[in-house]
Amino acid sequence: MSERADLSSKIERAAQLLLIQRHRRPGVKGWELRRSLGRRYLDIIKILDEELAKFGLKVKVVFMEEVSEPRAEDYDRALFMVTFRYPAKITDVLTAGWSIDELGALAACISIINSRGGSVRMRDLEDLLAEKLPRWRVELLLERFVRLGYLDVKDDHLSIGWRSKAEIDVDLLSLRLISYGSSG
Amino acid sequence: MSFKVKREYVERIISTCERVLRRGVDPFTIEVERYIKYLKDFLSQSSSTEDLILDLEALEALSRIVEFQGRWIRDKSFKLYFDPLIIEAKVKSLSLSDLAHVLCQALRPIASVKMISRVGFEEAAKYWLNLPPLKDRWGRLPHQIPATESMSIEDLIREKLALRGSFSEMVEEFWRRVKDSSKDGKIYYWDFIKSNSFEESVLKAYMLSYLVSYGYVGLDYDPKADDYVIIPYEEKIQVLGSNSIAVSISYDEWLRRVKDVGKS
Repeated sequence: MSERADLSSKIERAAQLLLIQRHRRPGVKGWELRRSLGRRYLDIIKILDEELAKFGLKVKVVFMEEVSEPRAEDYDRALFMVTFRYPAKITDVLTAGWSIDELGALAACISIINSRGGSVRMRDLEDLLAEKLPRWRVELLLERFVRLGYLDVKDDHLSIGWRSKAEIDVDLLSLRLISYGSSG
Repeated sequence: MSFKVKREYVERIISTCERVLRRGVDPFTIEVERYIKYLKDFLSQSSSTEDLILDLEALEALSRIVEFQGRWIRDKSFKLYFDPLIIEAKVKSLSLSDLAHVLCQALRPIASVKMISRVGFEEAAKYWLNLPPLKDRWGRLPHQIPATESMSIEDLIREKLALRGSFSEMVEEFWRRVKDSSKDGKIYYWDFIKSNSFEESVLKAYMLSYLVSYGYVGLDYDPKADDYVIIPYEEKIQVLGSNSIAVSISYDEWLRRVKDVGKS
């Protein structure tokens, strides 16, 4: 097989690995990609990312812990997945099964957690949301956010979950929140 | 301190710097000035090429820390925009719909395709191929036992399979109880369904939901008490449209609300 054909087949394989959900949670670990695509899997992923840009998609890498200068082993442990390249239209998100209330509550949770250094007492967040929603609904919503991976819960504290890291530009959310309504 | 120990200390400086750089944690935990003084002292005593290289590596790691400290300050100053109090005030002032619109400006959903795995498909195919025709399966059902036993209505009531009196009588009776209870003033949902047993509370909640659905009583949410106020109507009213209020009564919630176990 020529080098070009080999590269092309590896890009196809990478697209299949990333787009087809094999486990309960979407995405593929770096080491799984390395096993399937070889040592230079990050180069393949970079080319795939350029190809996906044509369809408004991108490859998102979620590191398991905060890293400023990721190394090869950080990539191996990271989760690779395909996400929208640009923010989704609210109508599309609503069609996917979300309600306005749920999205609003998620926005509140993520921005509050982010502003308080990444972790908030569950009770504090419940009290805040209970100003806008019945308490029984707040409890159900938080449970759902944790189940879907948008939030993590540990020792009665909530933090930002893997799915939020993948799907939400947290700093942009806070910036948009602060500037919302001030321009007009 | 022996020179060997000093060398190990320099190695430790390098590994600490690398760890901080890799994990992106607060670079100001590294005492750069103290380490540089130490390296100066180390350099004056070192003679081998290996030591010089080690000193150089440590100095390079420390210079990267200084560079990271600059970046850290820049990032932190940017984070000042996200003052927790401002964010909280904004969250409180905006409606859920506004918050939803804000979220969508920063939301890039995951795109994935769900499909059955090969193992799952093989299992399904095997199950389907081994599944006997419907008529064979029906044939395997046990024959109906011809013997019958009779039960009295009292037995059925005791087994909770039948009601004493008609359901409409039960509704009327319950409606009267609600009206009587509310004569003394405002009555809250949880106060009303309070009973000695969980079963009794569930029955009351069930009957109440029936009365609400068919216009015998109304519910009004009181945010201060985080509970619903029961408003019994004198006459049954025509219910227009439909509004659902879900009130969950789990056993734990019942214990907490009714028995006040959670407060003790």
